Amino acid sequence: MLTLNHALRQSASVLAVLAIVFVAGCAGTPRTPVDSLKEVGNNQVILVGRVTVVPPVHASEQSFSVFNQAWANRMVLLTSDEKRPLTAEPVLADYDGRIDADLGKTFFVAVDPKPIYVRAGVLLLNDHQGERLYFPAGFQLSVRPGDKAVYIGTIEYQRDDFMNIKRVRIGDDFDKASKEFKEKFGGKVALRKALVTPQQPRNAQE
Amino acid sequence: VAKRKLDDIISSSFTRNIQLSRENEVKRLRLLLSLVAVSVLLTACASGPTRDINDPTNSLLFGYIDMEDAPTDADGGYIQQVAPPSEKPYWNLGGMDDGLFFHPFLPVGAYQLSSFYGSAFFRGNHEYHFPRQGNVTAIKVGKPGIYFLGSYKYTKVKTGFFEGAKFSIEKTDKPTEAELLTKILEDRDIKKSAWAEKIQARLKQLKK
Repeated sequence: MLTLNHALRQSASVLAVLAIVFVAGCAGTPRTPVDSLKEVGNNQVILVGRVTVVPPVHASEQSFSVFNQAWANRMVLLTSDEKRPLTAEPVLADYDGRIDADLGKTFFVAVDPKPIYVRAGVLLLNDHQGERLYFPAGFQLSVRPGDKAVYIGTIEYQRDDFMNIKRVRIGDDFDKASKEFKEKFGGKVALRKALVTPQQPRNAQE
Repeated sequence: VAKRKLDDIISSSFTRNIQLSRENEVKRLRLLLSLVAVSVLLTACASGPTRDINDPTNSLLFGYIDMEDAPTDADGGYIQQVAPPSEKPYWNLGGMDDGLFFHPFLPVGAYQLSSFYGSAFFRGNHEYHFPRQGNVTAIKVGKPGIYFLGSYKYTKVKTGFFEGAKFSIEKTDKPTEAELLTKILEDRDIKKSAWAEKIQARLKQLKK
């Protein structure tokens, strides 16, 4: 049996306020995106990767007010330090330590030198109802002490017309990512390749 | 706290923009502006895409929702075109009669129910939104024809005090496709359109 949202006028207002709160940055702190070595803390590791959705999410599928345009075409990867699958609709605290990944673009974020578990991907569809899409994950990112930079690959979500995820593929675009990495951080820092292991398609909330 | 802040912002913005000192005038203007905003929104939704009802590439999509256990009846709704991508993806289902919904001029594509709405005197206006993902009403319209989305029943889902209301829908055997098509044939626009003959032909098929 499928559960669907039934938005009463009041709960719609609450949802709208929650959505505004979420997109206004109150939904926990994301992992810090970095563009140069100066922005990377002592002992921190630069995590490099990319997320794509195939076929891509069409611009008309998302709707944001002028203040929240940054959320268009952006997937939020919910992470934790330990294996902790997402078993229910995420609450604001679950967004703490997330990775904000603009779809199709290589991301560079600073993380602590320890393994990271990706619990699920979330794509916000609008900021008036807070409607979201969920993407399965359950990935272990192999970040080790001593690492300076780790490349995790391209997480490619293949979907059908109804946004059901049919397959998750991990692509290796190391050469392209490595070139972008060198442009930002120079050639002195070693980028170690440690691709994530793909999971079988399943509901992200199961 | 967030809602209060939002109200504060709205209030100050209104006061600043219209530069009125008398409180009742501000209130009247706020009400008027709200009504205009709602009208614009409703017009934008209601306008949706349109086509000639007799276009040979049309498909007729129809179904039924039993809202007996819902706070209100379903007075209308929208079906969402999810493929091919469109700048105007919401097709207006028009006025609904006793749970029957249909749309007679959909182009080839993929669709799913997006929302129903209704109102009741003591319970006010309600909207019933279907999710974009995992929607059980998803259907592909591959070639022009008649497509039955199914009959469903609204079922309330228990939630916590602070949670928003939720519902689920369950597929039911009744009304049947033939019963619903017979009812659609009574529609004034359908009677006069190319659909009348096609529906009759489909009813004959179903009786075999």
